Amino acid sequence: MKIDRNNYEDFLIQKLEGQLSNEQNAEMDLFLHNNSDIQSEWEAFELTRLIPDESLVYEHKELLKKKESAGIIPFYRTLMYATSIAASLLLVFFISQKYFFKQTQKNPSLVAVNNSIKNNKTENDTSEVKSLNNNLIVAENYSSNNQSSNGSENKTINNLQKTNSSLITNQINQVRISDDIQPMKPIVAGVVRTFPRVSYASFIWTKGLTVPHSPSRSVNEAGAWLQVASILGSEIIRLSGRGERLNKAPLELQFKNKPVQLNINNPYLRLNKFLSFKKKNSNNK
Amino acid sequence: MTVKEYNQSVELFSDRVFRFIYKNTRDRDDANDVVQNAFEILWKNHEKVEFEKCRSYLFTVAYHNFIDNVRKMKRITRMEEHHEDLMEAPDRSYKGVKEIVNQALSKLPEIQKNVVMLRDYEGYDYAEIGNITGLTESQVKVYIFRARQTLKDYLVGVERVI
Repeated sequence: MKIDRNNYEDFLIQKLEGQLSNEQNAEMDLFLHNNSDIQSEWEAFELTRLIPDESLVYEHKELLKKKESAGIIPFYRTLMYATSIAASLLLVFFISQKYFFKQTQKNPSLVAVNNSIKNNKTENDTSEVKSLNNNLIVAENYSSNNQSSNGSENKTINNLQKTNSSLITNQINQVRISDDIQPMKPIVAGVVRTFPRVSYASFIWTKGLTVPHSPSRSVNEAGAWLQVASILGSEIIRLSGRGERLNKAPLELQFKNKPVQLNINNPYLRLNKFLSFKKKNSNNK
Repeated sequence: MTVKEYNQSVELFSDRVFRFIYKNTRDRDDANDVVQNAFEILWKNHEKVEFEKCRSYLFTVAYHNFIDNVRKMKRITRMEEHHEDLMEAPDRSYKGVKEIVNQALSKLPEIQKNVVMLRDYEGYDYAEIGNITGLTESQVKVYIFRARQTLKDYLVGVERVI
């Protein structure tokens, strides 16, 4: 585009911005030479280049600076975090020692005997339990020491073995409970994981089998414990319905009017199947 | 960016960011706050920000902080607006070219003032200015052209008056 009196301003700004080619620059210089009145405009344009005022300085630089040895800080932080985690783990360990192991040793327990332990002697209160597609209850007896000291075979509470899908064909599981269970004694400790809403819960009960009050997990936990109760043939004192909060309606499990102690480790407890199993079981009876 | 590089950036760029913001706010305390805030944010992210890019980072943070402040201030009724006697009387004394240019600059729309300052003070190209201000390259170019035009017209007009 040729520079003329109609478009020269645009070219002047481009010249100021350093955007003209050598050819255009030469043409612009010639144009300015031939139009001396526009020369003063070019000089005015040149004045529009801003020059920073060096006297303006930020006066608090030192406050912004950081200590250069700050590189060590992350190490100390890591150490602090590691110490915190270690302390927490120790705390959990001691608590579990106090409330879990001691309590379970002191108390009688209920045993679910699956037929993988066929040598167990059973006399009373057996019930059939059918395992369904990996929806299995695994309970462990933590009081075998206690029971052996009692020397009562029919009170023996066996380890509830971890079952697997091969147990689908096994029809009979037996549940037994010791007669010397002290009502309302602590303690129930266990873990329940329910399906489909996956939730872990660690339990420590101090009175009977009362499901703790965590509202967020309560419905699933209630369902899980309902199934546990039904399989063990225990009596459900009270159970919250679906959607109700357990802290309003705690679940209590009792067996022969005595609190039940057990540990549940059930990876996929499908409630509906257990419910149907319960009905089937009661029909058989 | 290491701690050493961060401290270097304080030395190198705090004055520049301060000048840029002060030219906008005309308030030393506000400018100090913006600079402090920009460096605080840089420090928080110093492990992610490369030293080579920290100048742009600082200007971007400071610019957006300043814009936020301007928006807040617009909602506040300034006392001076209701007390004209408190406002500065127009200075009719002789001014050098620098003062006149500054006066002309203060009359530019905010966005034009910012792009032309980033261009002249910091030597950023249009793309870099676009990154800082959130404008496209062509928008930056248009604003710079308009700003130059307005500044030139003001200067020519003042010359005529003088």
